[in-house]
Amino acid sequence: MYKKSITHYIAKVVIDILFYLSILCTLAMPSATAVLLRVRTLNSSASIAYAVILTISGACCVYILFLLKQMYKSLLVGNPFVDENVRHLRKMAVTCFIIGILYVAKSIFLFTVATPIIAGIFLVGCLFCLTLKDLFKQAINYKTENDLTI
Amino acid sequence: MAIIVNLDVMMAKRKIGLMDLAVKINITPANLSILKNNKAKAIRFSTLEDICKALDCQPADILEYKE
Repeated sequence: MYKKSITHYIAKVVIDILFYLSILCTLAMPSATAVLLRVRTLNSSASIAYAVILTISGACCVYILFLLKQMYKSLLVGNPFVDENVRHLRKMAVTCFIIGILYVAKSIFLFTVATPIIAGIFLVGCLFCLTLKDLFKQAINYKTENDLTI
Repeated sequence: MAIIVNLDVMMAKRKIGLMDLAVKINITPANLSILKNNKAKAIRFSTLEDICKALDCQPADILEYKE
């Protein structure tokens, strides 16, 4: 039934690496921001705002990667169409939305060229996760129907 | 559900157990139990044919419509 593919294992390894790297980056963010911002002239309140925004968005990304890890676990077991993954996708959508709104706010107060691009990517990502959530829900309905067809 | 499966009645008449019938019609005892307990959503014609052949009966002996 479920055909294990090398790409699933590779993706799982990549997500695991990204997850642990993102934890390190998020933890280092407050002190790294101070170092990075020495190349720009910003007042201290803007620097603090930068650090806060980057730390919060970093923490949100860690959470998204954690949810992706859980989803890949269920995929490797052979049963990705479960209610838990629907919940994971909904949480991913909410988290993407938070990051998107954060960067929309940042583009108003601390504009850089990349900021609206990142905001757009995460807001589209939110919509994508919501669509995928509905697809998974429908797939679960079909699977249940199929499982209960004798 | 409006369709009632009277498989247990027919199985008792023919004096055949769940495991034996499952082996005879080549489906798992779990699936047969789902069918027997009216938990199934649908049944394939091929499965119905196998059950009728194994129990020497008609589909109407196994399936009943109740309002």
